[in-house]
Parts: sequence; structure tokens; C-alpha cells
Amino acid sequence: MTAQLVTDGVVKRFGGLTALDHVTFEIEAGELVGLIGPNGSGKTTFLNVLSGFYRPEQGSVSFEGRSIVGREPSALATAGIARSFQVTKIFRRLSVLENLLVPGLTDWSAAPRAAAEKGRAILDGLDLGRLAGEPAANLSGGQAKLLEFGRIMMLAPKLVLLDEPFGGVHPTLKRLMHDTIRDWNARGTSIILISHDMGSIFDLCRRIVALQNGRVIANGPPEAVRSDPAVLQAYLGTRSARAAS
Amino acid sequence: MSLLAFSEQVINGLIIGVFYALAALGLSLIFGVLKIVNFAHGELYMLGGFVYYVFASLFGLPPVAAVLVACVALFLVGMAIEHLLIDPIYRGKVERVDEYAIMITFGLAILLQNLMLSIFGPWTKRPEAIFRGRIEIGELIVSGDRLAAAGVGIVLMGLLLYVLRYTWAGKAVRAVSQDRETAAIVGVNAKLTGMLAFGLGSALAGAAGALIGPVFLVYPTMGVIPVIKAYVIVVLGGLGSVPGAILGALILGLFENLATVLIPDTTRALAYKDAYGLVLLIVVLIFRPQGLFGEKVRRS
Repeated sequence: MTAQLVTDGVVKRFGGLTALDHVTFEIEAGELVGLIGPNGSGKTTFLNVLSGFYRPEQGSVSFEGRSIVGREPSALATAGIARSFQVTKIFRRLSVLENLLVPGLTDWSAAPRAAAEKGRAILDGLDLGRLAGEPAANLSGGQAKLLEFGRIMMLAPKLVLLDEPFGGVHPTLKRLMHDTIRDWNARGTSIILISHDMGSIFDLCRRIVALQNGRVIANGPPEAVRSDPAVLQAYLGTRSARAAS
Repeated sequence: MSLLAFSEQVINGLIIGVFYALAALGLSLIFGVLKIVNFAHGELYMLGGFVYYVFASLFGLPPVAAVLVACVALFLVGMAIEHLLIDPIYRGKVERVDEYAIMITFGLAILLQNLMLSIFGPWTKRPEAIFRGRIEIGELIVSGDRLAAAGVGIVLMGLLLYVLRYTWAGKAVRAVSQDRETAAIVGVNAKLTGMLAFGLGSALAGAAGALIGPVFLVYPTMGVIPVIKAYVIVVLGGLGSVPGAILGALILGLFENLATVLIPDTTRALAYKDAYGLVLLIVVLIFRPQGLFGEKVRRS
């Protein structure tokens, strides 16, 4: 299999701070990769580079064999890269259903009725069907995260970037999110999942990449990463890591 | 006040309210999408007046066609301004965004005023009226040019509301005005949408200038007072709110005209006309700081 997305030596700096320090990473089509690391390790910055919000100072990023450095987030969304945000971003003044029907999610030439039906079916699948007409501002934190999932499904992307989707979400909704992520992956969508929820990461991902201070410190199957001394040290500190290993 | 005088002031107020609404809607649209206050809005209004004057009076185009030419010309000018002067904000090339936006649009206003001054001179011009004559409803007499201009203005506003509500481009404008980043990740091209919003906003200002030109005359500084009223209206109605801008404009138009009868001496009453809007603004802001339709926002 060839890699769907490849980054090679990506560097992103903010003033004197190097947020990403020569990050080399790849994901194959249909893979589900967990991205972990302590706070400030560069996980979200990495997603911002992949989704076009930040332009790296050095290195290359290519998606399906073509460089995507400097392309607009909207162009990357159209090309098949969808994402969610750590702090949920929805159109609060639109209704729940209207959130799925904004331009971009629906082609300008698409029949409005067909788009609305698709949107309703997606909301039903996410248990948000009964809230379709409600203003999105009325949704709970977990429901808003699910609505972001619905938006991703409207885009029918090839690669999904999820930034802390389980933060502050009720366990019932979390199970639904797990099932949805597995379902996307089973259909061949590749996923990069950032989460501090290690249970979810180890449950869902077959490969985990760990970052610390903007560098990749581990990359491999969950069991290997879990016992990797560098990862233990990053999370627990030197003495505790020695004790744990 | 007699019923006749009252009706006269109400009609005048509503007509002037339509012109105010056109100018304020444009300002509100630009603020909604680009989050900047366009200090050159009055000069776009003035440019609309001049384009109308050139095409209706010098080239002899039918007045309504000349209004449309002014709209199209200002639409293109607005798109160019967004692309050249405002877009750098969103490319990360500007460090102090608010200050930059104020300076650049203020500078543009001075440039445009002086440009027109050097081309056309400081003298006032009276372009062709859209409709000559007057309309009589019983004893009530309304001048035809004002009524016709307001009619064209209402049609243009209706068109804008339709575009914003039902078209794909209009929905993109609304999405970006709610959240630029979210709009971007669902595939809305925020750059193009910004250009479109600035273009539409400028076209509305141009339409207002073109429609009002035959009534209040065309000259390089004609936009200075109306744009202050447009600011009053958008703050009154709530920044970025379309219904707020329309309602705010009609309220201001009515209030200004009805309040003039408070002072019996007509000349003195008219002299205070522009101040009434500011009094109204102060009163509204005391009781409803977010404006009539605005959302409460706490600045962090």
C-alpha cells in the first residue's frame, strides 16, 4: 500500500518556539492512527498544518501524492480532508439541520431536497434527528461534538482529523462516537485521532504516534508505544518512568 | 401637529429611511463577514453618485439603467478594494488588525474624496431625476423623484435579502459571517466570500448614492454625513444584523423627521435634524447596549 498522506521534516515555529520539529509521518489509506503526547507537544499544531490553517516553515506535506503546502483549508476540505476542533466549532445561529446544509457541504448544483434528506439521515444515525429544527446553540457539549461528526459525514472525506473528540462527553455519547469512528474506518476512511483519553486511543487505534516538544518520540502498535521508555518518560517524568518499566 | 403634517413627515421619514437602509446594509454586511468597520463607506456612496451622474447626465443613459451601472461599477470597485487592501489581514501579513483596518479604510476615504475633487471640482452637480413630477394623495404631496428612488431602493434591498437567504453564494456569506474557520473547514472559500461581501456592500452604498444624487446633489464630500448615520444605524440595529440595519434605518428616518416638529421654528428645527439620531443612539445604548438585534458579546 502507498501512503495517503506524508509529511517529511515539517517544522513550524511561533516566534522563538518550535512547535513542530522535523516531524516525519505517514498514514496509509484506511489506517486509524492515534496521536498522543503531553499538553503543548504539538498535536493540534500538526493537525492545523495538515488542514491548511498553518503553513510550515520547512518540510513537505503531500496528500495522495500532491503537495498541499499553502493550500487553503477550504480547498483541502474539498479535496477530502475533514477535521473537527478541540473547542467545538458549529454555526450556533443556524439550526442543527442547517449546520449540515451550509455551502461546501452541499454542492451549489445539488438538489436542496436530496441534501436535506441526506442531512436528516445522518442526524438520525447520530441520534440528533429529533433536534434537527433546534438552534444549534441549544445543543449540549457532547451533542455539538456529534454535530461536528455529522458535518464530517456530509463531506464524505478520505481523511478525517479528529482533535480531542471525547473531551467532556457523556459515556453514552462516547460509545456512539466510537462506533461512528469504527464505521468510517471500516468503509476505508483514514483517521488521525488526537485524544488524552488513553482508553479510547488504545481501544480504537492500531498504530500510535507520540509527540513531545514537537518531535516524534514513538511510532508503532499500541502495546509497543505503551511500554516505550520515551513515552513513559514524557508522560510520567524520569523517576516514575524508571519505576514503571 | 395636523394629520397632514404628520403624514408628510412619516412619508418623508420612510423614504429617507430606505436610503439610510441601503447604506447601512452595506456597512453591516462588510462588518459581518470581514469584521472590520469600513471608514470609506461614505466615499463608496459618493462614487455611486458620481457614476450615476456621469452615465445619466453626461452619457444620457436612462436613469434606472444608470443606477444599475453604478451598482455594478461599485461592486467591482469593492471587490478590488477587498483584494488589494483588506485581504492582507487574513493572510497573516498584518499584526495589528483593528488599527490597520481603520487606517487603511480612512486613508482610502481621503484618497477617494480628493480624487473626485481633482476630477470634478468641488461644485455640486444635479444629475437627472429618476422620475419627474409629483404624486398627490388627497392633500398630501410627495415628490416623484424621491418616491421613485425609494421604490428602486426597496427592489434592490429585496434582491439582496433574496440572495442572502436563498442562493448558494448568500448562504456562504452567512456562514462566513458566523464563523470564518468553520466555514473554511466545510469547504467555503472565505477569501472569495469576503470579496463578494465587500463587493455587495459597496454596490449597496453605490446604489444609495446614485438614488439620492438627484435629490441631495452630488459632490466629493456628500458621503460624510450619511455615513455617520449609517454607523448610527448599524449600532442601533446591532452590528452585522441585516434586519437590524433595515429596522434601524427606518426608525432613524422616522425619528429625524417627526422630531423636527418639536421645534416650531422650521429653520432651527432642520438645523438640529442630524443630532436627533445621535440622541436616539445614546438612549438605545443605555438600555440595550448590544443594539436592537445584536448579540451580547463579552470581549476577553
